[in-house]
Amino acid sequence: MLVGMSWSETLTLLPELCLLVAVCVALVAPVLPPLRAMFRASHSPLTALAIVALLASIISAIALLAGVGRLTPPDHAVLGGMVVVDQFALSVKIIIYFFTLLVIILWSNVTRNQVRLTDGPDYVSLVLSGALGMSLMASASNFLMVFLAIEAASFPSYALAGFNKQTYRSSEASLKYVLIGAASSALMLYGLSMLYGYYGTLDLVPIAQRVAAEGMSVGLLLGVFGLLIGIGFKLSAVPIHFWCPDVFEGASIEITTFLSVASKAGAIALLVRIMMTLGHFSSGEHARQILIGIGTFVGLVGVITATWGNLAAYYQTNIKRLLAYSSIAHAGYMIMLAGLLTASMDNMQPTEVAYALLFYLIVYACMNLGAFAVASVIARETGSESLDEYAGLGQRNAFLAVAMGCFLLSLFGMPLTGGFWGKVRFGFQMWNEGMWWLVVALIINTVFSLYFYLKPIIIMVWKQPTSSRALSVAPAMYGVIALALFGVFITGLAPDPSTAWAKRNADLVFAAAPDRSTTAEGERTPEAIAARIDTEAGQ
Amino acid sequence: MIGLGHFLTLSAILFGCGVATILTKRNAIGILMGVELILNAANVNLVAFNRFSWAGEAVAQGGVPAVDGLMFAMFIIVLAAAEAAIALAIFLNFYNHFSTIDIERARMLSG
Repeated sequence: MLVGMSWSETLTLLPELCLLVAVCVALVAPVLPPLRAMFRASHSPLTALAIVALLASIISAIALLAGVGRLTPPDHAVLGGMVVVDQFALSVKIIIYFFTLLVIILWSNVTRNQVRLTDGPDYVSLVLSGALGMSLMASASNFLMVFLAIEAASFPSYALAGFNKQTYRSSEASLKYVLIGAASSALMLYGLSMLYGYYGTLDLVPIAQRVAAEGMSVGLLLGVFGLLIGIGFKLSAVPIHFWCPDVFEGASIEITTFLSVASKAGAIALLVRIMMTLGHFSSGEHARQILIGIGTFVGLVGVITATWGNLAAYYQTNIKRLLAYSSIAHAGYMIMLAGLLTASMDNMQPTEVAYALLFYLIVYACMNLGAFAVASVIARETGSESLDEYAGLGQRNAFLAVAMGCFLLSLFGMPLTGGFWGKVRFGFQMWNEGMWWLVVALIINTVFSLYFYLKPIIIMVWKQPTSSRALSVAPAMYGVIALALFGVFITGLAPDPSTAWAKRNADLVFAAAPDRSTTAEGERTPEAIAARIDTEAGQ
Repeated sequence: MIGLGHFLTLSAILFGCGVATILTKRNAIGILMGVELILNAANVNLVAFNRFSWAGEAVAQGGVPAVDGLMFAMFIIVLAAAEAAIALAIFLNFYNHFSTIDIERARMLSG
């Protein structure tokens, strides 16, 4: 083997391997004759399989983060430079897996019975392979891996958006999603091919070093532009955001929840890694100008995305569309912060900015999960996703109304909730970087967003209910909503523990794979390889 | 002598055709064809850059010819096939509901 791969390197991908095994089991086990009857009887075995696999992934990711036994995060890129498993990547992965676990619980309590029993294995394997792709996005450090991870996250998402085959909306949503996704990934690939043509490598670290040494090039410009299209599609950044509300409305609600957080967490982690690696090596004055230019461009995209999302949310009457625009706006805030990262390497540690993002991801996952969980309960009970159904919710089920109010206010950024501290930390980082215009944009956007976050609350409190029937909620849903409420308030009232966790676990590694050509494998000249092939053939 | 410039010109033409197809076609399969044209433009780029720029350089430095670009092109071909499979399944489902795959008809969701 030319590129050797040791066990300790393979073990760093243990969380992904757990998911991969579960995907294979979910596809194969239901067609094996002894097990077929069990899987045809109910969805429960598959749900249990998914939960076990995700728990195994979470545990192995936590073990890697803590460095238990042989599971230690390596200080260099593994698998020949394809992926970096550093603390930041592992933290994002834990958030993604935990969120996927809650999505599976949401599915088993709300919409599971709409999925036919024969389709259950497909559904579970699609969700798990989507989570696999998203977690690879968080640690990709080679542009081939970036492309593979984005596609591995996208393909299951296309299929899941259209999983509800009987409905018109679902099929239209998946059509729009797949066309926009295919076009944006094709444009990204054209940019990446130019990057390869100019630099002769696809590894992120050597490219960043060359950029620092040589400054601007046409290849870099086209490559970064293509990459931003590809990542911007996953994050629903503004020129390519319009799939987001349609897909969120058309897909069933737990898929919407999945796409709104897990997919965006993976994409923002990828953007952060690329921007920070470029910034880490920017020593020369010439390179700094270019990187500040790229950072400003990304920040500007973030500002436009946040503003657009907040303004378009004004007219929404469907709760899923409202939350879709809200998630566009929040993606915009995160892109704004990512724009800082190219310039932030001189005067502060990279963890200083990365931790703010990690903290924000935790808060964002909690509040979005909660809002979508309440919306899914109401959609299931009333059969409609219109905001009119929220009229007088306080009288029909006070817990749901109070919880929804808390989640919406946290999304707005109300003090005492986690959303407030997330935005405050963003604002401080932007101010420290001297990007005062980003701070202004953040504040103005927060003020804008107050109206549409208050609209459902006003409807819930002051409008008369159309029906006085009490809403029944499954106990597990109470658990999920209570967990999300706990997350929102623990990060809001006592932000220090989660901040400390985020600070401790926000380290990124900027190092290529060690060069194996002269160590274990001997020389890599053509003659040496030919000689080795001869000796191996002779044995 | 055919050199790198010729291949880059070919890929630029393919890219232009692909973008024009995506922007003008109203048929979903037509758009998918445009996407495939762009993907193949990227493939031509990768293979040509690998052949003319980087394979030789690695040998000159005393290594084996670099194959990064070729590997990337292979992955693109495989994933383009997977993408087409998913896209066609979704188009078929759309056709079952709307009896057409004209994307102008996809306007139930808007706002």
